[in-house]
Amino acid sequence: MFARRTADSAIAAILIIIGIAQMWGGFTMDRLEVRHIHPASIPGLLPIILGAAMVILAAIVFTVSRRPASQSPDGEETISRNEIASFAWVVALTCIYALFLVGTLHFWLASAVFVFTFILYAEWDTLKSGTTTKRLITLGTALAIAVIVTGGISFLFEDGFLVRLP
Amino acid sequence: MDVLSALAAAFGEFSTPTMLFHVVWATLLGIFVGALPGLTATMGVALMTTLTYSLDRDAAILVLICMYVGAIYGGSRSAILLNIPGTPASAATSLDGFPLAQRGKAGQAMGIATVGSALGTLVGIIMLILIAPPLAAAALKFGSFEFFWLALFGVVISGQLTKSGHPAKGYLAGVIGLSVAMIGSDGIHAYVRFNMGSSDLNGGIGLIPAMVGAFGFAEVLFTMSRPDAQMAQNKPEKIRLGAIFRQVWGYRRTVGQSGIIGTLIGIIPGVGEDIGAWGSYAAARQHSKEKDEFGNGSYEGLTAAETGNSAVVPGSLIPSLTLGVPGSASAAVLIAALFIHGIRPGPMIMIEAPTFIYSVSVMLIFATIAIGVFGLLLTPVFVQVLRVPRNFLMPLVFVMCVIGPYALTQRVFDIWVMFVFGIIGYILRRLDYPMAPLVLGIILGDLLDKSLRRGLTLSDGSLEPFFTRPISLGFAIVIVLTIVFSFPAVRRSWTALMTRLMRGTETS
Repeated sequence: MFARRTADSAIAAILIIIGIAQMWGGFTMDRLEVRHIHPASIPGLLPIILGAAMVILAAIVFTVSRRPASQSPDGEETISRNEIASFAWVVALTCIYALFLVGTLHFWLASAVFVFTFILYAEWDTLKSGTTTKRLITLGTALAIAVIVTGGISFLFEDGFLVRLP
Repeated sequence: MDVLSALAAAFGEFSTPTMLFHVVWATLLGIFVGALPGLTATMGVALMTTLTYSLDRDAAILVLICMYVGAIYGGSRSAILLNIPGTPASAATSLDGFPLAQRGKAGQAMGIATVGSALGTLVGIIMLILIAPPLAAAALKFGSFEFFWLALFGVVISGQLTKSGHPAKGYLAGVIGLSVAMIGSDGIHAYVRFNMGSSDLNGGIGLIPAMVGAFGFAEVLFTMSRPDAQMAQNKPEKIRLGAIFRQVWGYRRTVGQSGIIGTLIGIIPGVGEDIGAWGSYAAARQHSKEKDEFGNGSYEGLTAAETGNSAVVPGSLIPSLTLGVPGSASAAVLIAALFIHGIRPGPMIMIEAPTFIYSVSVMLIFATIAIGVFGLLLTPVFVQVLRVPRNFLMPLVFVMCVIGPYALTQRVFDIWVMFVFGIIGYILRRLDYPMAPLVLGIILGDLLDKSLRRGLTLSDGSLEPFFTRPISLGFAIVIVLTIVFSFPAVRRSWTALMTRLMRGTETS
């Protein structure tokens, strides 16, 4: 568990670094002198301005987030370990599906496996401590949704809208 | 007479069985999307865009507008029944709708929300027909200098959407969006910027994958990582149509006022339906004879909120169509869809497609009729649909998030973009950064870049025309004042100064 203000400071610091990198990238960008373009229309102009704006605004957010909790708009709000764990689980599941399963397996199969696994994860408490009947109902519902709904979505896109699925 | 004949022609064009079939299914789907917590109107329009590639232009835009109107209206279902706004636009609706549902008047509340939504959209449509053509004519006077300020204005105004965070976060989200738009070939010299060695980035970051990620996937992450909202017991009862119409007629002044406020808020780029609802709600409360009832189950409050958020839909289409600057996040997606279907929203629209605004008005009228019919007839069905647990719904939403961006370009790279933007969107949203300026930044970045550099080339590097041309000067003043006064410290100092001045005047 950690204070939300800490996350705010960290993100603001990252944005300051990105802003500086963007300014530098814009400044060192090709000025296209070979093409004899007007110096005011160089491609790096707006990135320099936006980089500077990002640094200034992120510095304001950083300063505000470093204030004592009593003066901060976020107060003592915290991000719990449970929230981070749930976030990490969902990112892991979606990452495996979107970045690895899609393109490796047929879209329908990949989606069905993902939906089934996701529901099992989300309903884990029911599966762990529920009665046998409740467990079977949850598993059956998860399987039915995974196969039928993803099959419907695949059919709609592939045959209804003629999209070549991965 | 030209207007009437254009409207009559549009009515004829959209009264075919095929078009009416599109109205029925798209509005119905929109209502369900809006009613399901976690699915927003913006996301619905974004996902629907991918489904309309194969339709012809008018049918595709009709489907998208019906989805937009339906989703904004549909958000009131879950707001009233479960105290969970189906879309951000329905947050104000839940204030009075849910207490009414707790008192066993859910059906009555949904009926009033339906009539209020329909009337709000109609007020907005009338204003769309009246205001859009002259606004487009005025927009023809815009040059590079004015477009630069206009693009900046859209991002700055939407940057004010931060509800609980620091105002700088809203502007920062806008700057992040604009910076994302800098990736890929620039619009003037086709010079590839910030592609980090990947040829996939040469064309830039796609709007649809970024937006589906920032709204859809971020919503999945948000919903699954936070504790579930407490569900409530609801008792839907029989709707008495006569009583509903009589009740809304009693609030006709509130309906008119909320419709106009909603439309005007919709016209301001990037503000959106939620602000329309809150603005109308606040104004109605101020003028109401039953102020104390607001928040405890006031029919007038419910009417104001629903009329206000629905009126934003046609209102937001006014700048979207005539200036190419979206009036809301959903309208921003709609603009992207219009581009895909060959319509170029902006000052030239009255020349390139002079009857298009009237076609859109007719599409809105059909969508309004459809929400009226479905809203009043399908209330018992909604209650069943809302029982779908989030744990079963969210993985399906993510499957749609994956297939949507992929269907547009058939590139797996766009799925990765969606994924990355989902995580960025979640982190920013968790820290109270608004998402609308991020999306608007991506949309308006190219216009801002080209207008700035073209303007500077025309003026031989001088900044003077950016501040001396009348429209430019007006924009510049409004933007500076908006930014300065959005900071609480400045507002406090200004109030203190004004109070001192007033006291000084009184004593002298």
